[in-house]
Amino acid sequence: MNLTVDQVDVLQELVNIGVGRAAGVLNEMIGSPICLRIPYIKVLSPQELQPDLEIRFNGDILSTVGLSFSGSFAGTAELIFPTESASTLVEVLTGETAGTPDLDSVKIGTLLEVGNIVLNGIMGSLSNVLAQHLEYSLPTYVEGRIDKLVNSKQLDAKASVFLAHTRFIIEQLQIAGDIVVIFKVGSFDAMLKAIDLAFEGDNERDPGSPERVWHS
Amino acid sequence: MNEIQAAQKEFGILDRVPEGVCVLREDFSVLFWNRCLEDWTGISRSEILLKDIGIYFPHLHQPKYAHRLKQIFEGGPPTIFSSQLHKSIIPAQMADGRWRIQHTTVTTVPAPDFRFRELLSRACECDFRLGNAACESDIVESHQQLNNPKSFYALFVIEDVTDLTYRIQDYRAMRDRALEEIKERTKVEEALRESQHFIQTIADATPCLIYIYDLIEKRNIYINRQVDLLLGYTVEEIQQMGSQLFPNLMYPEDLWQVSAHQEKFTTAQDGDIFEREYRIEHRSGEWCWFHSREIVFARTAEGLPKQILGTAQDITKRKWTEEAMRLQTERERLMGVITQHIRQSLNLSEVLNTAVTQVRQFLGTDRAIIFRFMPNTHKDRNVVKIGNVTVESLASNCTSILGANIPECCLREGNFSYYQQGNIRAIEDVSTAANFPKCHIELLKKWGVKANLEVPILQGEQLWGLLMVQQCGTVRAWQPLEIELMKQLANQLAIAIQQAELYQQLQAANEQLQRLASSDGLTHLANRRRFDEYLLQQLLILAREKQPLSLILCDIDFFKSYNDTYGHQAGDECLRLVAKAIQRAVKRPADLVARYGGEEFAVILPNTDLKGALRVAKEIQIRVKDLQIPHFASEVSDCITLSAGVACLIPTADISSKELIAGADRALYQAKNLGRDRIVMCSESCLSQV
Repeated sequence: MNLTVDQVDVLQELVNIGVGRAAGVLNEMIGSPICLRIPYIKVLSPQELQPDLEIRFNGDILSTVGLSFSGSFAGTAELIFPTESASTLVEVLTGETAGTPDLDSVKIGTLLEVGNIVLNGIMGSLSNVLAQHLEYSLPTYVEGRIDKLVNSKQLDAKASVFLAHTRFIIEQLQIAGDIVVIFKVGSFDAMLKAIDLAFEGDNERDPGSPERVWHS
Repeated sequence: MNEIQAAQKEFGILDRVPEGVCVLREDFSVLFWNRCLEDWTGISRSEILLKDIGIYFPHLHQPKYAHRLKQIFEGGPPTIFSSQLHKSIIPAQMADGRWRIQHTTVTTVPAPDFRFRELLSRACECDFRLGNAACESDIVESHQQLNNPKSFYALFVIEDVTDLTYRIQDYRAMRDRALEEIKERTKVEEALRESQHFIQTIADATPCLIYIYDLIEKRNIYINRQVDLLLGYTVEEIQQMGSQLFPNLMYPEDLWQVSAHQEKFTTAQDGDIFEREYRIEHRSGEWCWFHSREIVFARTAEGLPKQILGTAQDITKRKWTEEAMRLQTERERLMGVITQHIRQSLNLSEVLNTAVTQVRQFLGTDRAIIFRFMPNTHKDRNVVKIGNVTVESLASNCTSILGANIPECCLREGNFSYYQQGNIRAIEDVSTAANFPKCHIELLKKWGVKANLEVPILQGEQLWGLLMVQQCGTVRAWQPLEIELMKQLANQLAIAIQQAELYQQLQAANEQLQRLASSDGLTHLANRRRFDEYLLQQLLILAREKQPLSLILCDIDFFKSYNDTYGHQAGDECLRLVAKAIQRAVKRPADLVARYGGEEFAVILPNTDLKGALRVAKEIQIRVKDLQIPHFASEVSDCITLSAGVACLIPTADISSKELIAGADRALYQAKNLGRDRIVMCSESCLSQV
């Protein structure tokens, strides 16, 4: 799928807004500075997703928080960490030392909330700016290898995958994870149309400033 | 109140769930408050409904909650407040004082339409009052279309995870403890292994046996590797012996003391050390001495000693040294005793008798003899060929061979020089003896000897004799110590013999000298010096005994004329004859006859009164007369006669010999005056008369 430069810019900016909000929330909650960064985004086919993730996560066991949505566009948003990184993140956030690298329910609860904050930030940002109301399921937590996670989605070959690398920077620690948003067939097009529609009138004014759109 | 009723109608069913549920409106006022929350917080719904929840729980207005809730009111995705990052969203204390730990999920719920209409009508009222109603209504309509006209409630579902959390915490604590314990145990095991290795190394390197013996199972439980070095058995071999360990290896004499030794442990306190010395057989068959130190190591449940821990040191070498020292000391002591006994006397036969008695006693033999060679000057000079058993000491089962001779065949040249070189003959068993002269063996058999040990007694190169100890009842293996002792004894004996012989010679010489010093050369009677000495001696003795002492002084009548007539040689001969006669007249050994002057004689008669003395004097007179020595120049007889004065007294401390002599002298003088050839007595009263 080819995106126009404008489309990429807008998407990047929307994700940044969402992530910025999430970072704000986390900061307020934890009381220590957390920085969330999205270096770049890309759009993939489902076939490309698994090899891409495998390269990034090197066959580690992964922890994922998922949030399904439906409405004018439908799909699943996922925040993916290697389990060990997730564990470190939880330690930093809760101040508890992990006895073992396994993630018990304590950690699952924490990760669920962190994932919830990050994904809500992104989805809120998308839906809000596009003025689309979406229905959401409750967030879920899954642990396993990449193939299991990807296969469980039973992705349609024509689905679109929107992938954003994230990086949590907390107290000199850098924890890398991925935000993956999988759109059902046609949904991504619907979203792009919505984007185009939303920025049509504003293009002349300031096409590169979606943040202002958010505030308006 | 319509909104409240609608909410109650919609959410009323949630009164039945065991989780906290409440519904907030965009303005944070409470629309629904279920029974569970009433229970948890103690706040009734009648109290809280339509009120801002911030009145009761102000923290919900903090940005970290408000910002996230805002998303909900805008229809955003569900929000989770995990129990880990927020202990309680609605703080509530339980009966036991703990705070409920809550996991909260907030979801959007569309608000019913009437709410918007109500808002709208309010807005219209406002606008109406402003007089721009139609216009405003349009704005509202369009706004409704553009900006998602719907409003949303926030539905809080609050799960109580207190128990779960505590359980998880407990579980984690338990797991951490278990992990810690495992780590600790691993460490302890490692340390134990190390210390076992350490102890094992030390035990194996220690140059003594270290062992654990089970008193109940009667077997060795542990022994260090030194056993291989010290006894020649491997650890496995020792343990395979089981209860046969001691019977197999311990010296029989020590073995039957084992039970008595182990008995001591029944009353032992912990820490008591029991020591013991015993012999164990080395694999090679040699006996090794061990010194052990043992303590109670383990006890049964009843407190009886079960295992003992011991160390045993090989003291074989020390024992040997001790034994050698002991033997040496014993030998020296015996040698000292025997030598002392032998030297107590200078009498040769006493010396020899003592020697055989002591040596037989010490060696415990049946017979000990000294065989003495006699110099035979008849044939070859320096070669003695005769001799006999001079002294012997006998056990009751032995026959005496005292005085027995050694046949000539035993003393041929070769044999004799064998002895002369100081060689010793030790025969363990006469019946099987080889390499000994046949003649010698025959002699021993004749004497009924089974075992014989003989050493020569040498004086310089001179063979003085042989010292022999003999066993008549049984054969006997002579010990090096015994042979050594015999050798030394023979040396000592040779010295003692030499001394005794010298002493004998000296004594003889002394006696001769004494005789010469106290006798008269002509008559061989005691001289004047001896007379004075003896008289003084007797005076003292008899003064103590209060017994009478008599003295006879006699003088040959007209001896001067005799000399003139017959010559001095005849005179000397006369004196000799008279002296003999007087000597014969005096019977008792204590009586002393002395030549007092030229022709004057004195006789000291102890324990003799005047009467007795007179009798002796008369006897003398008769015997002299009986000599019938012609004396023609005599005025009283034609033969030699005597005049005698007799005195007697009972000596006292203040009477001296002079008084007795003076008494006798006066009596003699009187006898001469009265015409010679007579005896005059002088009693004490008489003396006083004179």
